Amino acid sequence: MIVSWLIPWLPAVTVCMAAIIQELAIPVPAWAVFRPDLVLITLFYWRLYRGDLCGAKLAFLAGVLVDFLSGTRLGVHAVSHIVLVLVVGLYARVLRSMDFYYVLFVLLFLTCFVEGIQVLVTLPWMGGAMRWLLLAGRPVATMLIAPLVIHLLVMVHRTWLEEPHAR
Amino acid sequence: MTAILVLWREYRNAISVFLTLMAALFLLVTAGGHFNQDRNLVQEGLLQVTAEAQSLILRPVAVVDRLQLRFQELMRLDRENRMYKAELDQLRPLGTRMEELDRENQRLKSLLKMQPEPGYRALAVRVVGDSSSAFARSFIVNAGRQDGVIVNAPVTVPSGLVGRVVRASGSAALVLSMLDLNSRIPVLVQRSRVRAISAGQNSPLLNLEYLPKDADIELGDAVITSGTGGIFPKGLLVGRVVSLEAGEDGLFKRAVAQPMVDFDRIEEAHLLLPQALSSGQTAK
Repeated sequence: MIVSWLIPWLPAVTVCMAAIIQELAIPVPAWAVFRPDLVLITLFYWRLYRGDLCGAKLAFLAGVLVDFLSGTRLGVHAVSHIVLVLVVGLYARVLRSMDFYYVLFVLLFLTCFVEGIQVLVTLPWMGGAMRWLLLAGRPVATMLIAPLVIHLLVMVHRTWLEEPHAR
Repeated sequence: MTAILVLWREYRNAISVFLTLMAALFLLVTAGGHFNQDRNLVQEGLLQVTAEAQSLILRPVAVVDRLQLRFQELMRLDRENRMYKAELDQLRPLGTRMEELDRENQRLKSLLKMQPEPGYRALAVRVVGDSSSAFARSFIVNAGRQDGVIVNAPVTVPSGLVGRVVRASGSAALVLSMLDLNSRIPVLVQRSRVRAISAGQNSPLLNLEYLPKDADIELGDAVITSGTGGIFPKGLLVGRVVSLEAGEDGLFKRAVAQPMVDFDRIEEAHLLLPQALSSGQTAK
């Protein structure tokens, strides 16, 4: 009973875990630049394969969590993540039919797209004072780590969420 | 009423997405910098839970890190052992001299040990969370109100000032780096005692603002905290001047300072807490 109630929350739990892990202080110099956007990958996956459990509200909450943890102006990631799930939802059918290697490049493009939105919405307050190196390194890191993260999400999906639980 | 219900049933998803997007935009426009001084239990709780989770996840990383260091240390010891055995005969006459140098080394090390500022005690903390954002420079440390941490407590490492605490929960605190766009620190040039304001710009360098046009400042000058403003004690090393630009017009000179701290590699730091709150010396 409790398990069946908890299972629909798994996407939200994995998104929160992704946010916490991507905010870790790992003592590796490359982490300062090549820090993947794990939340983006997680939202992307769940929106594609369990869109009923991953909508704008989850994207909003994930964005606020990332904003809070990273000290960014509240709302920056919330806006960009909502737009992300909308775009992924819009092209879900096309994306699902794509070869996995192409999906990696789609993720690269989406990371740049999301960063573009974040830069745009922060421009009025920050001007050009962003960490451009991190902005440049993030899409590459996201694309490189995506196979591993998606593999883990597929495992979670197949183990607990194969059948739709809450439509 | 019925029409509204029909509309809601028909466009429920679209209305829900629209309202969420509006909420995010509203937050963006109204929330601003969320580093105000008021206590917010929801934010503190979130910070607490996140820091605990991050500590938990970092444990295996720390274990692997220690094992790797241990392995490297063993390899190094093995190499050194072979080398020393080979060179022992040659070095034997220098034994006395080496012992003397070793003692001198110990004395110098004890002299160089960092002393806390007068009126403050230093609390050693570990960085458990780091900002991943391109738009902010802040990080989370594993000490909070239970350890005596207060908002605005200065954060330092042996090489200089790092920033200040902007939010503290039970056992974690959020530190605003002095490189963050929201950071303003009253400073003075150590050599000439000229005052300025160090302003973060989300880049590795600091702007020195409000320097008089005729200010006595040179490249390489050390910049320290001035002690005014009531947050940072006087004399903490902030950085060194790396660029000067004589403004063509206006009242002020432009200067840029390089912090002495490598912000991408901070693993431990000291929080400077008022002496009256003294208890333990190390967080967890």
